[in-house]
Amino acid sequence: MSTVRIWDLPTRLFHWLFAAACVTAWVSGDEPRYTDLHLFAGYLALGLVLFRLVWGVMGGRYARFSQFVRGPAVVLSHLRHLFERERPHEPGHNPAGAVAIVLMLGLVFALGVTGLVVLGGEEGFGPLAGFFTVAQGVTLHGWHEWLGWALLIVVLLHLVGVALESVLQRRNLPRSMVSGTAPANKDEAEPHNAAATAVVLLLVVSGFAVSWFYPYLQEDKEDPYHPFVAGDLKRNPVWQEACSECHMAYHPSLLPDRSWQRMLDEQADHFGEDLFLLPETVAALRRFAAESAAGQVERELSWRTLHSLSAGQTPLRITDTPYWKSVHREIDAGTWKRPAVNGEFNCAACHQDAEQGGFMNGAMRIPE
Amino acid sequence: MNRVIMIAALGLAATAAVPAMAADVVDERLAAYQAEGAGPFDAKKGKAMWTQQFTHAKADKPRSCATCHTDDPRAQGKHAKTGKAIKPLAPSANPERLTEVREIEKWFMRNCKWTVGRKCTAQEKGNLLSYLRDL
Repeated sequence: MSTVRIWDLPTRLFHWLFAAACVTAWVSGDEPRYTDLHLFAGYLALGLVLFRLVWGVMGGRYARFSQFVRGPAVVLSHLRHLFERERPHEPGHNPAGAVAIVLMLGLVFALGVTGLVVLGGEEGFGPLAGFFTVAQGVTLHGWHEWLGWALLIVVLLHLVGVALESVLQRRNLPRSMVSGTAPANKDEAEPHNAAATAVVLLLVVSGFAVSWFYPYLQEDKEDPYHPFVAGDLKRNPVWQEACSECHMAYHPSLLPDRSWQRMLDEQADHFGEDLFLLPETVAALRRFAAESAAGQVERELSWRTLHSLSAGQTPLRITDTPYWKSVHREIDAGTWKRPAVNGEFNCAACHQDAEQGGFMNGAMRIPE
Repeated sequence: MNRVIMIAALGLAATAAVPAMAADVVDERLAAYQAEGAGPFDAKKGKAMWTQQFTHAKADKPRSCATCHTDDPRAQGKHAKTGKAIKPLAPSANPERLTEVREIEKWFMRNCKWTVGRKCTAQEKGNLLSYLRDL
């Protein structure tokens, strides 16, 4: 046996880009601030799955599904004879590795699709915006997370398998995925490197990355780049003026209508102050609250706020809602006391789009 | 002839575009308070009231105008509770101040109740406005 090429360049490039996209998506998934990065990695991974499906039909010898996807009997037999000295020579993917490949491609495809539903339903963004309700987005958000855990397990099994096979076969599998070569007979070699396809793939991915992140290079402190801005949230000049006389004007979609109506009933003792609002001002505020409160508008934060309350609860403070508490539980007392933050009611200290009522992921920066 | 009419029209338009002057609005207020039986008004008494500390049932610690507006009405203030920046109140530092009767009376209502624990009298309001106008 000699050292020959078994992996063509697009297969190798796909492998490492796919691994990088999955790791990036995994680590950026929980942090709202990095939603933009998460979406980039998600789109990239989904696009790579589609590429791999095509390459699995049109690609090189060992890249084709027909070469490595085997039935359960072969997989079981492979696993049964795993630790035996004499095993059939497998230059490409072994039968167990093939199972992991199919599972990873399938799971990432499902993650991409559910992710797009979450984006469209909860946030109102992406190609599926408008096709799904917040409630549907929230349901699929749960699925999306379970699929993520399933992917993690398969990836770990894949890594264990690679390590095990590397030891058992005394050949460095990860290095093969870089160099493309492995010990095999000359007639088992992959004849084409398909470098041109790899270059096209790399150019498309680079172009996507540049177009996605370019606005960050243009931003400055005065004009930070917000990848997502709340769609067409209704604003109202009377609301804006009356509320912002003493504090930020909190958008009505942050609390249910019953909270706002009670607040206006009690305007003579508004957290200790008598507002002396004119009757026509109160009427205008009541009308705007009634049409834009949580429950009236299709927004994730409204939906989650509303669903965190029992029917009998009528909180007057946004900070009293269980949803608000749950999303702010990781902010420690010291952060709230920072001069630039100045307390829980100053949403705009961290949410750069708070004045517009946005509160979008990615518009959040906790000041020092 | 046409030119004269045009200049006159421009002059009129300019006059109409000029917003109300704080001094005129304050004079109008003082006259109104006088009609309620208050006066004469004393800017010095207004200044004394500005920093006077009031305690009442709803105040956990003594409150004054200066609590939020600072000792100098020409300086930027800060809402005691929410921390929101408050623009200078003295018309000499902020010409938009004291130019609308409705705003003046609304804030007297709101802030006297918070600070003093009751409505301010016409005499107190006249003193305070005199103080702010003359700064």
